[in-house]
Amino acid sequence: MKSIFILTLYLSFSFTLPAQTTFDYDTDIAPVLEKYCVKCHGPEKQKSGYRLDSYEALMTPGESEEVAIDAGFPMTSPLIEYLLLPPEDEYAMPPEGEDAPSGDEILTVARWIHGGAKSKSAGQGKLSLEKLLGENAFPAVERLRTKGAVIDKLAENSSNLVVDLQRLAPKIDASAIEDLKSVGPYVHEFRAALLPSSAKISEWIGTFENATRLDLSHGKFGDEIVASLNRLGGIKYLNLFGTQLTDSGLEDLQVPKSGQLFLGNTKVRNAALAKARADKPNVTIYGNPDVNQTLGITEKAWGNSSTFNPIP
Amino acid sequence: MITRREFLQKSAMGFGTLALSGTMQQDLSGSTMPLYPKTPHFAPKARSVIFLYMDGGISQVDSFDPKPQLAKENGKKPKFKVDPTVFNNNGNILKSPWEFKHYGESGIPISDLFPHIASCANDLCIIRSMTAFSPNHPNANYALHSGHILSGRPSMGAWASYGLGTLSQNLPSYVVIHGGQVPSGGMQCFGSGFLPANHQGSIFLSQHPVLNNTSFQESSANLQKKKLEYLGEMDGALEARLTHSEAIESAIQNYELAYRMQMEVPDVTNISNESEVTKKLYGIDAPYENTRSYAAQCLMARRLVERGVRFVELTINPGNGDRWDQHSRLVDGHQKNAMAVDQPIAALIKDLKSRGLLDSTLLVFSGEFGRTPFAQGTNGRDHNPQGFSMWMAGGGIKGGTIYGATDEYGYRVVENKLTVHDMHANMLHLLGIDHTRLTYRFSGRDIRLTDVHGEIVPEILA
Repeated sequence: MKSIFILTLYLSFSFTLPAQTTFDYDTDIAPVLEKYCVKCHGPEKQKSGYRLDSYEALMTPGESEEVAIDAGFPMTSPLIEYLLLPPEDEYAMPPEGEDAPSGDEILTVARWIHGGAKSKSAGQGKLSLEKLLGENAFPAVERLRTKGAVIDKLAENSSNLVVDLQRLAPKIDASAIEDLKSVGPYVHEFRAALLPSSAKISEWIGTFENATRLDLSHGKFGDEIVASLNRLGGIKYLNLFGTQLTDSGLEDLQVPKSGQLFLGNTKVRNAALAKARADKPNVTIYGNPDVNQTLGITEKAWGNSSTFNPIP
Repeated sequence: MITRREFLQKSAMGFGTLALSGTMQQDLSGSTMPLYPKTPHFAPKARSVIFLYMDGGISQVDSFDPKPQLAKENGKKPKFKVDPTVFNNNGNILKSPWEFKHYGESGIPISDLFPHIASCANDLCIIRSMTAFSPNHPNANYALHSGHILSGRPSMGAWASYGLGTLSQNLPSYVVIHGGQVPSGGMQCFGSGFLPANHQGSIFLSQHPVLNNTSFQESSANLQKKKLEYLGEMDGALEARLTHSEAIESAIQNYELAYRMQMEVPDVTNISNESEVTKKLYGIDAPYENTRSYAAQCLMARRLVERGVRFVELTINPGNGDRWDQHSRLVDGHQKNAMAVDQPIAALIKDLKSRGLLDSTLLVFSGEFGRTPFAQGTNGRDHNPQGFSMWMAGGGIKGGTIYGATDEYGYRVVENKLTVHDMHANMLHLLGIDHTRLTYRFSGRDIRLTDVHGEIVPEILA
């Protein structure tokens, strides 16, 4: 997802197509590392203290206090050294028996290091919001801010955006929606509680193609948005609390593929909730809090002489 | 970025016009506002903090740190070296009057004082190795809030506000929902110290109206508008005579926020529209009045966080015998205090979770110190700063875990000792702030909430 976004940015910001000889971390290197390395050097395992699942991590030393990349010098970069060791060597990476990168893939990594081991997105993160978004999207941000939306980068060195509509959401109009569409592709997290039915979000929510967190709670809409949501495959957090989603809407809902889904105060019934929980083991699905459990705990506590007894 | 003052000058209009266009119609780009959100240093795990302040010093060996050894030696003279305590009326070993049961997937032991909170065990990270900088209430309270044992330093809520601003421009960034128990050391525990005054904790009462000056005094909205315009003209005239005045700028900002709060506060603090089920969950209808009061506070805290308030702190209610400060009659006082907060806090966790807010809201439950495992007199416990328990839950915290340990009596920390600096560093970390970079120049020095200390604890982070 991110790489598509970066590529789009790259194409739209450069006057010529990238030459075959330049390589970028996101488009050329990350997929190779993801395929062969991240299983043991990523979020789950960090063998020898190394993680290779982000540009920043790749440039951070592990237990040996050696950085895997020596920018500009492939042959003194430990990463290349390990990749080129004979498979039977105990330090060979990936270890013997595991899928290993092809010669072309290793060459790509080597040429990328030779070119300075650069990452456009890591650089982009340092850009101001204005520079990052350019002359189309940034004025849209300014207009939305004027109307009360809170919009900022996720963090100083991030190229991802957080959009929180705050009090703009309930009174959103066509011009604000046009502005949201132009900002959409940059957004990582979109918080828009209390959207009215007139917002017709199914018509534009698809522009948030790179979003991972979507809070649409308390919106005045239901199953009609499911088809558009299903196109947002990168979603890890989807908050539909207080919307009018029904059992059949939930049946059709395919996102998030993994992560968290909030369905409290909707029209989804308990049986459908239970079925969805069984059908989607990778998604944690939240309903309403169980008030009977609470009442039960209180009742039990009153019967326990060492707890809340007597009531003061 | 232009300052508010420059904006006023550039826009060549008085406060009145600004109030009309800016606050009433929300037609002002927020980036000129003093509490406008700032970019975090790194991607935050939590957006807001709710600090559940257990005023007085809750006993660790009666809540989250069971010590069977106390039962074995109950009534005997302590075999270990006992340091002087505040009252120095130190008696024999006193076993916990409460039973502990195991809860959640990891079987975390929690005493019968907290059956509701125990039902959220999977979300809690219990830290059993906290220490305090002082055995005295005022100093320990200042340290808990500001990292410094003397008064006058900015509170953690003020630092969070200074570092990140707030999402709702109609509400203060740091709100204290006051149950009525004024902490030892006073309300300056919630102050902004040397930070600009708009970061200090705004005190809301737990019952409606939460502020006594948010209702309109004028007979018509138009009259108020005219008054504010006139005020703006006068401020503008004064400002024109002075080259630069922080005080005037602060005054203008305060008028503006106060005006916006008149619109927002009555609504956000009105819990009567919450569903009956929600009210039952929190205990709004509980038989004990202090449960009802704390339930209202917790429900209000959720509503504030929902609107993007950065830091909410809850004080406890008076009328539980005493704060959690049972120098005598431990059973009676701890039971009343626990009964007041247990169900509301558990409801807050469950409600936030259901609404998708728990993973972006950090909950912190802590007193200023713990209590001794030996008796004060016969049935109380004195202050113990050398080892006590607190817990965190929600935004970025690894739930269902226990961190650190005290000795077999629950007296001193023996493993992974933490101080308030560490607690503050981790709180800021979860909010996306590098605590070593959050500084304010005062008296010739760049001062931090964490002074020159504070360690991030990866074991407690998700």
